[in-house]
Amino acid sequence: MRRPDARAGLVLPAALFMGLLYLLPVLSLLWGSVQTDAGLSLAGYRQFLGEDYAWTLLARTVLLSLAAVLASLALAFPVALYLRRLSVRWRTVLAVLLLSPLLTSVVVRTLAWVILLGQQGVVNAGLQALGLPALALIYNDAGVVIGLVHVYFGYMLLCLLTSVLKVDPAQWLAAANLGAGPWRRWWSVILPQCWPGVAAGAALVFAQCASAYVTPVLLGGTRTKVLATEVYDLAMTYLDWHGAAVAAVVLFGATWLFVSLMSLPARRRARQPA
Amino acid sequence: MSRRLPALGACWTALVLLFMLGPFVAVILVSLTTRDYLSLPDQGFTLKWYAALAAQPELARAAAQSLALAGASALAAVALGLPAAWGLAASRARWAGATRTLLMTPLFIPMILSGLAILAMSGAVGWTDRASRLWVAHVALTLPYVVRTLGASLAALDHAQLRAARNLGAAPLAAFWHVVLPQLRPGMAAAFVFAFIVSFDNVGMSLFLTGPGISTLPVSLYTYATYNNDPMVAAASVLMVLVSLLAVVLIERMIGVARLVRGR
Repeated sequence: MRRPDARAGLVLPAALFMGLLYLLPVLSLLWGSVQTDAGLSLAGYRQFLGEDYAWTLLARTVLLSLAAVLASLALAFPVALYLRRLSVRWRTVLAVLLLSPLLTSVVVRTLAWVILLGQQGVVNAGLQALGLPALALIYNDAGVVIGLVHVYFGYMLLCLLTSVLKVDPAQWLAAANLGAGPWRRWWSVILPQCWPGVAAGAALVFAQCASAYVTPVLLGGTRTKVLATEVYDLAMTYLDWHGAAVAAVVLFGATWLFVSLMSLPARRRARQPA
Repeated sequence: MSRRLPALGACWTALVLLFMLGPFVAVILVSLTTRDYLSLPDQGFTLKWYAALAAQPELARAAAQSLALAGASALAAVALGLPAAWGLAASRARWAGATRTLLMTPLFIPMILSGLAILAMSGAVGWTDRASRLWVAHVALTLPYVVRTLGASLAALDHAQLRAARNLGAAPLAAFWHVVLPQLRPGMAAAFVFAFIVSFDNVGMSLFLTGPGISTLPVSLYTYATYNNDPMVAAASVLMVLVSLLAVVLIERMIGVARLVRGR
């Protein structure tokens, strides 16, 4: 059983499947985006990024995703700190309740928010019953961010929880004994130790939000266009495969840039002697 | 100050819980409304939207196709993923690291890019059968979850038993069958359920690969909801939530979500 060839043989079917039927199409899409009839060329990118419209889409995609990252971080951090204090049993119950929405479809969760936030939706019906003016919560950026946070909050909580549970209780107690208040302890003890979790959660939520399609369409309406909706429209409505591939690669590039930025401090720390 | 903090944390957690679960409660209530538009049931309850759903041919057919697709994808992903996870287990060889990364790639590449890539490639090679194309895409999508779940189960495996079986003369396959597989059963079941629900919920990839003749429930529901605003949308959502709920219960029973939050 220790012969490497036997082990490699077991892995081969899955590796071949993934390589030929998944990775090859992805690579050929990337390759096709730098091709024109005249050969290798960046003309597709020059054309796409030469238009102000593309930059508007890119900026909106990045801003919406950043807003969702910050909001889910703000929501999840206190929850993770609170769960740390609970017994394993209660922590499990609450974690299951908070994470199980991750196993429902994005479509279902987004439609729930359409029902809640719509012009005649549940929230506005409630406001009217109280004699308050209706709010425009849907078909704008606010609606999209609310939906994105609800859909991807679980990933942030999962990442934060993993690192919050690893925080050394002795350091926390030492800081408390030396007179550090709760905010000081959070800033000087918890946050530095949780940075890997914060970075991983931010990268994960950003990547998912940036490529989200359903939520911007259903909650943003036709006015809130993002890169993902542009990729879909180019490919499926205008049948412009090359343009769609270029837009998809730009989207991937922006995501990749953010993810590498988030992993920079962790890498720097790993290089320092402990 | 310090003593008030836990109470503050509890209130905050309660609010977040309301934010996360409240929408589902609203959807359940709206699916029972007697009115013809999306609204809370203020004049009694009815199940007529569920009946309307069953009578709506497109959504009903998409639901059946979704369940079949999820089952077939999960089966194939476990069939490919089990030998792969076993072959990769505890191996520190360079090829093993590279293969592990290869099998995880669908997690790192935006779904919209993957869907487009598979559509473009299959078009280029003249592969027009939508059902098999969708199936292959969903197997690729679910394989990372299967490999990861089974990898975790294999890491917890009792290797002393395996060595004992081998020393007593069991052939590698017999040892795997009698010693490893029984220990792996909960992990395999969890991997299957995980793959099933990931496929059943997917919309990012399916959007590109569905079309006349084949659709999935999330895609059909999404398409239906962009043009219609009736409570049938809520009824279909409730049914999808029930499938997810079943998955949560099964996964919790088999490997325990607790494993994620137990700490060190």
